Amino acid sequence: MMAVTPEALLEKCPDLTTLPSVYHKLNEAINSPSCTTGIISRIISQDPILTIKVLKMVNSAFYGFPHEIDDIPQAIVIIGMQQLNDLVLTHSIINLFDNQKSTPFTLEDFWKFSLASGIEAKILATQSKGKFSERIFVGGLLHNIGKLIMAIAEPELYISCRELSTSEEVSMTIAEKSIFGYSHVEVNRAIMNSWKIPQMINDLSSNYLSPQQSSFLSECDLIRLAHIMVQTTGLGNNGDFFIPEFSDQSLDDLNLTLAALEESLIDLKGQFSEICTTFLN
Amino acid sequence: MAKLAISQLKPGMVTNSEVVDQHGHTLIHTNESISESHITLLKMWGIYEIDIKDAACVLNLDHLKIKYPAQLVDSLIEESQLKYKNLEQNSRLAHFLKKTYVEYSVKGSV
Repeated sequence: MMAVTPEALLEKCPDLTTLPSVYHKLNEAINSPSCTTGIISRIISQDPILTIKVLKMVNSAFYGFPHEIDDIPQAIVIIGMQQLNDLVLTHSIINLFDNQKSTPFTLEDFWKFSLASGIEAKILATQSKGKFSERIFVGGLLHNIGKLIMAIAEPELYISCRELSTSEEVSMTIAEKSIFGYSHVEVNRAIMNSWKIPQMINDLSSNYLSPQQSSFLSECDLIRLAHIMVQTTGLGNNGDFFIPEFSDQSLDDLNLTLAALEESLIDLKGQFSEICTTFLN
Repeated sequence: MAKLAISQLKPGMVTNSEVVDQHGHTLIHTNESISESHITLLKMWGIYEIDIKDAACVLNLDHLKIKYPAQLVDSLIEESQLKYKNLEQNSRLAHFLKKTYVEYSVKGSV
């Protein structure tokens, strides 16, 4: 039977609706008043692969620190607990989908698109020189996660969306609404609620097409722009052909010039492969 | 926007204001894309310069055609018109993205 709501859709893929315990343990510890660097380090160190990934990321061009950081306590001091939490979240979510065999997406292409979007959003935020949330990377990473869930839960319907998008020359969002009755952004909200990840991340990544509904208008615009830039360069694949709307005025509001966009792609190229090899084996 | 001499015009450039003859009759409307035949006619009409949209915004990718097959570049330009149809067509961003898209695609596909 067809899932009539995003929540019913999630019931079709129960193994994807909970995040590994390390993420929740870490989140709980960070939010506790008695949180210390030692407690956080112990939680992360229990997972050697996670430890390696965190250290690789902290030492990558993404953060661009001049000195080598070789243990978790040092990493916490330098990037802060929230950033560390977001790296653990990134690792946990990508791993969660590891066992999915065949989907209309090549998983690797989907994650490449998503990681590139997160990186580009962070680069654009830096260039725009405004005050933006630190969580923009993870917001960019997850802004299309609903598509992946739709494609896994209902592969045939998802293929029909692509066919409709091509034949009618409409965006995938319109095609999703007409075939599923809801779009990937609604599935974003449902899966993030199910994962119990912070509301703010959910807000950023579920409103990139409708920033006026968000409390973080500029961040949503940055994520949409990052999405457009990544689609333009062809890094990875999110299954969309059409580019969402973006005005020159919005670009001006973000204090971004075309030269800055061009420059952002050079930075993206410099950071992308390192982050891909860190998170995608 | 800029006044450009007829000798500098290239097909695909877009008029920023109406082009009129000496009697005030409209020859080319505002926001119209200039074609080869327009350029020939402008010369015949004795018009020396016209007002066109920001020259930097014009999708001129002739330089790519030196290194890559012209047909491939042209088909990517056409594809970019469809891909970016949700953006305002004469916006700076639309021109920039189409140009970047064609450049990245042509390099990736050869």
